Amino acid sequence: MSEKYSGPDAAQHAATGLSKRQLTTLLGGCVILAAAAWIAEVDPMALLAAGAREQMAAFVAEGIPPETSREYLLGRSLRDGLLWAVVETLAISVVGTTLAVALAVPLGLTSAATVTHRGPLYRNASAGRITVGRGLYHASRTVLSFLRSVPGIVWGFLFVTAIGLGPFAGVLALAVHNAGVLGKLYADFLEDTDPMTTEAVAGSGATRLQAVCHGMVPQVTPTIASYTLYRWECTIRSAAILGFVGAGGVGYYLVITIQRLQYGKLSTAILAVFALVVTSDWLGSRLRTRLG
Amino acid sequence: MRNKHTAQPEGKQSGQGLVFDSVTKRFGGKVAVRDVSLKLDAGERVAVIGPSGAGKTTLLRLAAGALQPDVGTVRFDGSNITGSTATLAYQGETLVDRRTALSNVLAGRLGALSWLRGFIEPLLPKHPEPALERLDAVGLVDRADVPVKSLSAGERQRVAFARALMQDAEVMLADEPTANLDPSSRRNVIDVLDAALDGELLVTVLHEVDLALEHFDRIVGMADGRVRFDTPAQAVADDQLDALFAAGASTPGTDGERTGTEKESDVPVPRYV
Repeated sequence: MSEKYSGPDAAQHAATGLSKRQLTTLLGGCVILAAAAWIAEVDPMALLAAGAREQMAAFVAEGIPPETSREYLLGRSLRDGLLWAVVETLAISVVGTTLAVALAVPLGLTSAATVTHRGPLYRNASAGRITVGRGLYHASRTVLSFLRSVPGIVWGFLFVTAIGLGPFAGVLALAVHNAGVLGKLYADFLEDTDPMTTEAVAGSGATRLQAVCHGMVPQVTPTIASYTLYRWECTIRSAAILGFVGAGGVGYYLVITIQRLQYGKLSTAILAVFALVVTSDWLGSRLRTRLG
Repeated sequence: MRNKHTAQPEGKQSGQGLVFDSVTKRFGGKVAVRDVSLKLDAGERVAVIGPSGAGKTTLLRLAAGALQPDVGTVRFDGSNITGSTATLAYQGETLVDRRTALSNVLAGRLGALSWLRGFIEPLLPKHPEPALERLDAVGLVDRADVPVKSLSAGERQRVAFARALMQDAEVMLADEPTANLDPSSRRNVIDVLDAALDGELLVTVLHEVDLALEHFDRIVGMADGRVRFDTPAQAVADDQLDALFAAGASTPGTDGERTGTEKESDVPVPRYV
């Protein structure tokens, strides 16, 4: 009836329905997952053990209803109480992100190959200039990787050690870590711009920096703004745990109530963080739609 | 017809006009422009036609000084090409979408401004008059404050011309200004470009042969990086055009391929995934 395909790979196709390549990918993925699970000491039985169930039941029993006393929520002075800590978390994230952007913009520019040494801006450049550009690019990428690879909470611990307890340490921690994250994003976006648009501006005799400002950057400003807002939403979640190391915010209440087994107060603090995250996500997505 | 044609218009001094002298340009291992010699004079209206991958765009970018030849020279009136001698009107897609037409046109002459002014001018223009004048020349002065993304393809192309006109260059180069346009705007765009220029040399890469023959004085046919013919528009013969586009269709790599539809063949059919 229908003519059957009888080319070289026909047998393999009939047998598995998957190509060799797909099969290898699938098997490779399974092996990696199994190895990772072993390293991470995955043990489903631990969840079902009697002790675990007891603890979880205790948390639910004591955590409901959440603590709502005036003293816990508002405290005794302005800079006291859970609600102030929530406001402080928000403030840390806003100032921290702003500072991160200020650091990420220059680092992002010097980490984009299209700005430093590659593409239409450097078509007629001297070999020396390109070598210098490549050096700057690698140095700046290394700095970004380092800033990014040290977690925010570790930066928080370092800044608390250096300048003492308080929200400003949290601001600096977020700024430094997120400068690494945002700088890499900015650089990757700049490398992904349309070279002809940049070339068109550069072709009119503009300096390289002018061509970057008016040919390259405006292509990516909406994307950059949108990702920066998304990153701000992330910093709220980071700011919520900076209190663990004394760098301000609602995290202090989370860690204190866990240590003191005050599950009612812990529930309230968790709900406060939840409300903060939901609100900021909503606000962030609304702003991003506007940027559209 | 397949000879390497070297144009030598009679009665002109050599060294004047835009002169390509044995120009070759490679990208990696691929030769985009192969030993091209051409002499184009001020005031001429030249259309470069040919199949895709013929090297037409590379030729224009060489003429604009955006690329440097690997072999040979490109000169205008005996000197090297700079931004003020030749300007390339890039396609409408290369405008910055979010910015206004005025801002895009102002970005066409940043080189003439002071270092600091060059950063501010497209955003907060101190002297928008030259840009408005160029926009007027392409009939879009009333659209100056409209973001480019809300303009039609034809209007974008005209804004790109206005941006190139900011250079006041003696050679205007246009790369497929009619690409992605509907037939009526194609004609309009060419007319606008023609009207906006005075004694400048105009060199345009065009896909539409009819449009080239109708609107231009001189036709340069390119295929495989070579100039196949170079004649006045009225002298272009049909068999020259047929040969030009046939030459492009049989470039190495496209012939000898099997389509995978031959069923009776004993030869195993190659698989294309």
